[in-house]
Amino acid sequence: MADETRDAQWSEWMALAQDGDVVAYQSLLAAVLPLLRAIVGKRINDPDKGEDVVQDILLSLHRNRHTYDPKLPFRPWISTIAERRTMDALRKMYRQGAHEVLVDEYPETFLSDETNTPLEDDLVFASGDALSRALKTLPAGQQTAVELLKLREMSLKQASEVSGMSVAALKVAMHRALKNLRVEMAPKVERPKGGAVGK
Amino acid sequence: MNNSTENLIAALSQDLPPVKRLASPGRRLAGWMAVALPMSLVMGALVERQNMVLAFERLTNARSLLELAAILLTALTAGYAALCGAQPGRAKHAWMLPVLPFGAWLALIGESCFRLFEQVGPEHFSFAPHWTCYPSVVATGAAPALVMVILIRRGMLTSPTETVALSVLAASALGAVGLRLFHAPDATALVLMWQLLATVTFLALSSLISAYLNNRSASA
Repeated sequence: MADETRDAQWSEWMALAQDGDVVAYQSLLAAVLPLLRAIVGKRINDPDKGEDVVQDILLSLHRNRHTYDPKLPFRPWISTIAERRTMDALRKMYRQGAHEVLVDEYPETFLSDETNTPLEDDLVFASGDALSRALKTLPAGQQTAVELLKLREMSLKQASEVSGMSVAALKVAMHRALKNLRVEMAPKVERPKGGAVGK
Repeated sequence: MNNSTENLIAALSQDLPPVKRLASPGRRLAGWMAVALPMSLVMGALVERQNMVLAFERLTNARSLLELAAILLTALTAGYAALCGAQPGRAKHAWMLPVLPFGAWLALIGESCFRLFEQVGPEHFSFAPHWTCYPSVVATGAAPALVMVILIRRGMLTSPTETVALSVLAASALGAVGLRLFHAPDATALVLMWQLLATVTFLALSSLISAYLNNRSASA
């Protein structure tokens, strides 16, 4: 009985969201998260990768919200999308796994010791900390552009739908973000004089 | 809640425009039939205008009517199942609907082939391509395939393989109605094979063009 009430509530929220109700949409997305995590968690054990898939499902839900028929129960609709996206993610992981080789150490590139000794700055850069810090210094619009276009690999059209920014505004924000990131990260990749670049 | 997921929900909820709901598969199927069937029949009649008398004869022949009914039912059931496949949460077993009418259609084609084989003998019975049939196949099959692509793309493919296969069957069957009426030789297995091949080509081309246009508008 509790399940039926919950499904009816979700269905009502989704119908309202289709008409543009922001509050109902936010409530719905927050409410379905445990269900999505459960569906994804059955097949993907890595929590980080699992959360990426959950976010993909949320994007699919958003793009395809017009396909929901409020006369039908909501749960089969969202479960079908979630299962589909999970299978897509698994296929992608298997494909990538088949082309990747794990190595303990990077192979030497030149005989000289300097070329094979990682600098402290390189380690910081490689860990992604520097990039994360640099991203946080960007204005909100530029952060959104980088996150949607580069980190989530969306097309301009998809990113425009999700962010509400125009395609032209996204292009400008992305261009400025890259320029700012280059400036922000430039000192981290400078080498001491006389040190050869080994990568 | 994970921070980035929370941000994503906030971003998705920002400035939420109302959306036009996808019509039910039944209504979309009715739209498909209303647009694609007349176009297919008109194109078939134009390409095979010398066979108009033959078409009227076939409409009064019981066996031809039986075959037309099986073809039309195949188109209806496969079309309905394909449109269900393009809408998440719809009945998963809809793909079984065309099994019976398609089976009946194949049985009737098999019987036609057998009769022809008995009449002409093994030396004159051939599966070689009849290039003269191809314009009729293209003329009758284009509209059903193109309209089906538009309808399918408006939904979401959760089982792409099944949905595309059902779309091909539906569009081929609807095109075969015009072919069965206007085309002079009896609809044999060979004609059906050409019809399926032509529909696959239409669907692939339409999808490629549509994907190209989508990419272009996204990067514009």
